[in-house]
Amino acid sequence: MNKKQLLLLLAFIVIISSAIAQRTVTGTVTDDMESPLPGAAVIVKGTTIGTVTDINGAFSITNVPETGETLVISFLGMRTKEVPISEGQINIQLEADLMALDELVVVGYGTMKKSDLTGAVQRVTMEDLPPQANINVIQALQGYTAGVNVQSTGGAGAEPDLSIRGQTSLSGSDEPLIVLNGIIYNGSINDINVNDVETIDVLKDASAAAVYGARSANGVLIITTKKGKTAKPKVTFNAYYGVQGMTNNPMRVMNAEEYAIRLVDYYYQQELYQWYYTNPTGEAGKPVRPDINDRNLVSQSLRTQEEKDNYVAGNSIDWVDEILQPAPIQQYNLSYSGQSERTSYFVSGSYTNEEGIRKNDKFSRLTFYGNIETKVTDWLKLGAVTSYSRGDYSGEATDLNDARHASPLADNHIGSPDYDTYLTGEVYMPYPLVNIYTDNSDIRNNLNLLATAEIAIPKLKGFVWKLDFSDNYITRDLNNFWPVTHPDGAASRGRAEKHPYTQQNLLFNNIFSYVNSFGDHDVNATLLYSWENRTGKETIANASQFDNPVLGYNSLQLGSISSNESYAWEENNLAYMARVGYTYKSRYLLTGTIRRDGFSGFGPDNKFATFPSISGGWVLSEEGFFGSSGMYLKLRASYGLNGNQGIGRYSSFSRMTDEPYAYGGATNIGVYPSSLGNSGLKWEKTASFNIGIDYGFMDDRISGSLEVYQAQTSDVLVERAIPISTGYENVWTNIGGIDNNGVELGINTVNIKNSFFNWTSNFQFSLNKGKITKLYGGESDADIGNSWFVGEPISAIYDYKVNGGIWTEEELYSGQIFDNWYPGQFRYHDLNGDGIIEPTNDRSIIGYEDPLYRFSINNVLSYKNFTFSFFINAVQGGKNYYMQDNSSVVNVDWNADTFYRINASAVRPYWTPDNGVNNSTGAYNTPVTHGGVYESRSFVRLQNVTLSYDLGQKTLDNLNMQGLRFYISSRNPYTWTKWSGWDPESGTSNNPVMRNVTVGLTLTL
Amino acid sequence: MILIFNTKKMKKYINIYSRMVIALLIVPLLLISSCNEDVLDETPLDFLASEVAYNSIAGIQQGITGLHWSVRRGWYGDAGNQDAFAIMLGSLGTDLAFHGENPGGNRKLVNYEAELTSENGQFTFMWNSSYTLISRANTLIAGIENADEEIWTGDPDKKNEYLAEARFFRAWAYYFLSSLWGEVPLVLEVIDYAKVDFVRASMEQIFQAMEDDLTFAAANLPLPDEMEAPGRINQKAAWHKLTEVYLSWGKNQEAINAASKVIDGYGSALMTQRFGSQTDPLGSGDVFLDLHAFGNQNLSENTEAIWVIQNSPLVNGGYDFPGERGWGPAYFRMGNTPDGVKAFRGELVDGKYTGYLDIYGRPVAWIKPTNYMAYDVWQSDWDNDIRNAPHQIIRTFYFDNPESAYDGQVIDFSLYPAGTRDALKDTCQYIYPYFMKHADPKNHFNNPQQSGGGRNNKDVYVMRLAETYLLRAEAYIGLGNQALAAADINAVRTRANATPVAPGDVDIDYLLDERARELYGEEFRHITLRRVGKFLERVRQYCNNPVYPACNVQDYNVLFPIPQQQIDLNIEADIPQNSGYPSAGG
Repeated sequence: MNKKQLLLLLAFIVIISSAIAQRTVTGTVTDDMESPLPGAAVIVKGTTIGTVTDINGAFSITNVPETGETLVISFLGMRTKEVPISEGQINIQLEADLMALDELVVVGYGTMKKSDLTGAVQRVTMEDLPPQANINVIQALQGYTAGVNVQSTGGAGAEPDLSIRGQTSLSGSDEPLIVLNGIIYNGSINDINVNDVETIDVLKDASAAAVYGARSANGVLIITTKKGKTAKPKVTFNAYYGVQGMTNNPMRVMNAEEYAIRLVDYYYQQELYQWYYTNPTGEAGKPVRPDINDRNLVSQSLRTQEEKDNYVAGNSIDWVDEILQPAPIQQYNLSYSGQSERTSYFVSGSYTNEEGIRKNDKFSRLTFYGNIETKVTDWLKLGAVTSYSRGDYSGEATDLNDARHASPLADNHIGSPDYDTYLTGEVYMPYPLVNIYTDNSDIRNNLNLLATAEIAIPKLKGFVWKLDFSDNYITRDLNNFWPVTHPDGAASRGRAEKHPYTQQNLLFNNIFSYVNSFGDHDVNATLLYSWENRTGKETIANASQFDNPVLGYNSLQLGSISSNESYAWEENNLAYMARVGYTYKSRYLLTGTIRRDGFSGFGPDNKFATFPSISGGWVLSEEGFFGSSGMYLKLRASYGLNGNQGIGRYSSFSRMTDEPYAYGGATNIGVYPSSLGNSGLKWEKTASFNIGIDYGFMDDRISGSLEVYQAQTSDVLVERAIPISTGYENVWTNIGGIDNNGVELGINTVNIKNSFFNWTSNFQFSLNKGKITKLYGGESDADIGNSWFVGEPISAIYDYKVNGGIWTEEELYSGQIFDNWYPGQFRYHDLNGDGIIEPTNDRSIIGYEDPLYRFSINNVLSYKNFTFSFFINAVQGGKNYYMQDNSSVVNVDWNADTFYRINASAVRPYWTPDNGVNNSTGAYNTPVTHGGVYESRSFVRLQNVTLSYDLGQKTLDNLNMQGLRFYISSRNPYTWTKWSGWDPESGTSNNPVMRNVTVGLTLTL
Repeated sequence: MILIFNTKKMKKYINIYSRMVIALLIVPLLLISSCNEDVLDETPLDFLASEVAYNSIAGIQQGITGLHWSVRRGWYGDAGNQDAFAIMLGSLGTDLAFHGENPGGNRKLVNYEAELTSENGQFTFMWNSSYTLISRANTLIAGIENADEEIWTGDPDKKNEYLAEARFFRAWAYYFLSSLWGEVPLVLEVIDYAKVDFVRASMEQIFQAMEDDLTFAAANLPLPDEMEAPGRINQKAAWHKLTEVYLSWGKNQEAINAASKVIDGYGSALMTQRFGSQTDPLGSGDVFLDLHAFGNQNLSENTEAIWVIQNSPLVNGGYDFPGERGWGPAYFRMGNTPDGVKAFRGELVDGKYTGYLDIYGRPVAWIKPTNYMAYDVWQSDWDNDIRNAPHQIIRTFYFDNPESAYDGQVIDFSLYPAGTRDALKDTCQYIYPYFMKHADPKNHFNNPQQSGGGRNNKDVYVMRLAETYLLRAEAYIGLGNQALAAADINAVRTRANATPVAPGDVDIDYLLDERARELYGEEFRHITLRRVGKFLERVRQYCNNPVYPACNVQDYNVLFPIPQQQIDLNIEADIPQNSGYPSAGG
């Protein structure tokens, strides 16, 4: 045959075969709400023949071979479905995939399909959370992820405390590493507009976190911001407005009556003590309590004439009430986004304004954000993410502590500028509203640039080279003027301070990656070089003695005394990382990582450390023996090493401090050593083992994951307290070991699901228990001074234990009382039974400060266009966990000096010889030794309730909108707790967590 | 053929691409190597590392100033700890004074039994201040010794002069520690690691160490007129301190020799004529008033001063001394006149009467003198002893409000209806004898709204020649030489226009009386009483705290308890508690 003949033959075969064997299949793909799904992939099983649905969800495949029997329809976020090819129109409805296994999860320097994950990574998608008034992303995260511990703090613009799993370090930082769009982020979490955030991925175990090696021992939080995604430009506007107030358990302070009478009792009990010291055996000779119904008599115990006069006149003022306010909170956010053939863009701006419940507690913020990504060529992609935030924290908040301490009988000058700086002339009692008269400005700017270039190396499939450069420039401009009528300016005739601060964080990543498939084999490799440089500088200029205060801090030269301080610092990190992932048949997964990290803050010989990890996964449900039971089961195991550098710069140095002294009026600078260095300081390392199960039953009606982990930390970085005879109170050092064991369980359920009513629930539980396994080596298994004990958690509380309440007068008379102890004092456990309460033998471990477990339950119910969700969050101590010394609130102050000078809480009545109180000491109290009064901070909180309404499609179409949602939401409406004080979560802080009610809307065009 | 062609083409492509790939791989490598790992080397930018701080004369001088600052903060003001200041310099809980504002409270040593415990922060503060001072001195001593030799070129004596000043401070701290706690750990070297095995040294070892430091200091410190700045340490101060050390050590003759160095040399003399600034708001005055007047302590003509703490006003590095706050009565709290208006209207500031008088300031009655101190000790020479003059000790106060019919009358609580006043507060907090040597009437640089807020800026004597005489007298008493003891005491008494004491009347109690008259609020009475073995006896005899007689002192309080922190943290060696305290021997 010649060439021509051959060609003819081939053409003939092709024509014949196509005529015989090909047909056309058409149909539509919709989601479970019967909305068309554009962009779904429809493929003939076993071939590469297929298409993508159009804007109406319709598809048509013209060249379906005769042998093709089945269509495979897939769409991101939906369960892939197979349907037999039949005659006529095929209509396919896809169901949302609750496991979202095809979802791409950020794993650090790259992404991975969730189905291929071998580490413990949990993703929170911001759109899935109910709408609520969040100022920052951490707030939004609270309770939604197992093992992520968020502790709210109070105040306008306050940042919550955050930790992941247990405390691995004794005194190094336990803050997780925050990564923003792939770049280690050192700025304030408040500078990120919560509306710009798309997802948060939480890397919890060693293998997941190991790509961040040295800084990942506390886990990693990866925040990814939004990109433009839709061909049609999208405009979104959302806004909320609300009012905040104190949570439901406000702490009461003594009113005028209680305040006056307790002073009667204070002096009466002093008299009693003088009598107790004579060791009486009966009531004879006992001083008589003054008649507290005699107002003139009671008034005499008051400290000042003005209080006496006000008491007799029946005046009283509640200062706590005076400084509290209903605090408005509001936010407006506008974004515009889209995607063209080559370029995607997302720009947004927002304005937030929040006030705190304490008067003059203010915060406002302006943010702008832009994310542009463009494909320059097929192989080059450039991107720029820029953001700007301007936070205004100006205004010094009034102080609840001052209000608690203020005399309810002091003269009231509210609203008048001639107030008394110190109420009743008492320096312990500043006018609670005095901070309003401070001129304070505090502006914090954050400029963040991330530029990326991604080069897909042409002709070499799978090779991508990526360069990141990031510059995060942070400034703070703090200025204060305290007038002569403010405690901070009174002694120096007005004091001014200017305090500019700048910080710059530069980061450069050089990433080389390779991703490819060879049949059943998938390979994924990443190489990284990273350099991070952080610098900061700070100046504090002070002036005092203002003859003319009118220009305040803007003219320091008008103050006749000035002093200056300035600071500067630099830190550097270098890192090299390699990661290889291998997957066989999407069923057997293996990932190995190694990272070498250097940090400038460690001793000269210990700058670098290497952190390896390995992890594997096995998708059991893919195995033949599982059959097609509608079940999903994946087993994961990982082991790895992580580090902690959370001690900060220059810790290995001995530091000198300077203070001025003036010989004969001439200023001289004095210098002395103020901290002890340790040149051997090195990385703290945590080796952890994690086993995880991802599961889905009943077609994912029930799904979730279970994690069990064990982490062992060695070379623990501690700020160890040492005997003062060294000259120092503490030193940074590496010692011993800590173990943490824990369990995390997440369950998602679809309880009810039909076309008009849906009910889903989410349950998260985490438990962590830690203990010290080793201290300094050798014999020492207890360090009482630091409250560290081998075999016990770090948070052990070593103190006296109250044993049966309060000593009584009967015990004094009958001689049953311990020597030197008197009625009205706590009765402590005498552990060695020698009748003496003393620190060496009678203290013991009586509890732990850390909580034992946490759980949260979220329920989302939707009926037609209404969605109702409520979220319950709980932190629990179990027995003897989550304890805190609450003496300052529940008991008379040990330091009587403050008791008779200032007002106190009215939480527990104090003991008197006659009232039978058994949990609080007498008004006057002089124990030879004392411990704390511990209370459990366990709480269950209804943390969020939201009702929202989405406009229906028809109305939206008529209005030419894509979406419109209204909602009403409340944060922290109710808390159940036995903690006495403002709020269990804020503990003894005088800056309690707030609750609020907000209304809002989200409009999409 | 096609195959061959393709192979050639392929080779070409492979060449190009492999070069590209290599280039792409090399660029990052270059970037890596260009970014040297030296970036991880740390250089402090805003603080001195101890290795370099003391490697120049200027640096060493700053180190010396750091020690002066540490003493002022730890012992001579309330910046560190108000209670520690009031207990030590204010002599609370001794024969001289008790806490007036709240004599039945549980602060400022009104009740030894409840307060003087191993966990009490007031006493822990004093312990901590001492050891940090010792550590700072040790670091400076090592720094001077290790400094490059060439820094001393041209001034070879300076090295020993600075070493002497640092060692003086170390001995000063050990004297404080060992006087109150007895056998304490002796640290004479820099400690640069987490040492947790301290043991108590013997008194002999501690005395020896102090003697070594102070004899070196006395030999190498500058003469008084050659000091680099007022307030620095000179040879007199070293001899004076050495006198105290020898007295405690029982070496009376050595004490006499050391004291004589001060008394007989250096141009020392008690001040007998009025001098310096003589502002006297009360209309009369004398040399004792001038000794304590603002600005007079540093004067070169003041031949009595030995070591003076510097408290200059209105300058960076100056300090507000709580002299009025500490020693004066809180008159402004006494309430109304018998006819119902404010007893003290106060100064007119910004159109408003403040309730405070510039002459008294704003005292808060931390330190109330005992009856012994306020009255009994003055009986023999009530009218002639200038230290008891009405302008030195104000015992009479007047109503001060023109709106009252009582304006200008002597405050007398019997003017009030019976049962309307609290006698305890009236006599312990509101009105009691006010020793003006600690005040600076009408001379406040700050806080006009509160007439200075209880603070002034007078420099404060740590050591004064009058005390050196009394120390030598103490040594003579120890040797049984009453005649010479009387002579020394009379040097002080004569200057005060008091009747000289007859040698036969001199004993240790008389000496303690004289010290009280001369040095009230200038000495650490707690140490003096313990040194002469009269602590318990004198506290029980004279401390008339009306709520807790003798401040409830216990036999075992002769020594302070070792702070519990020190015991707890010292995990590799046992530091036994002083006897009598609850955990001693436990």
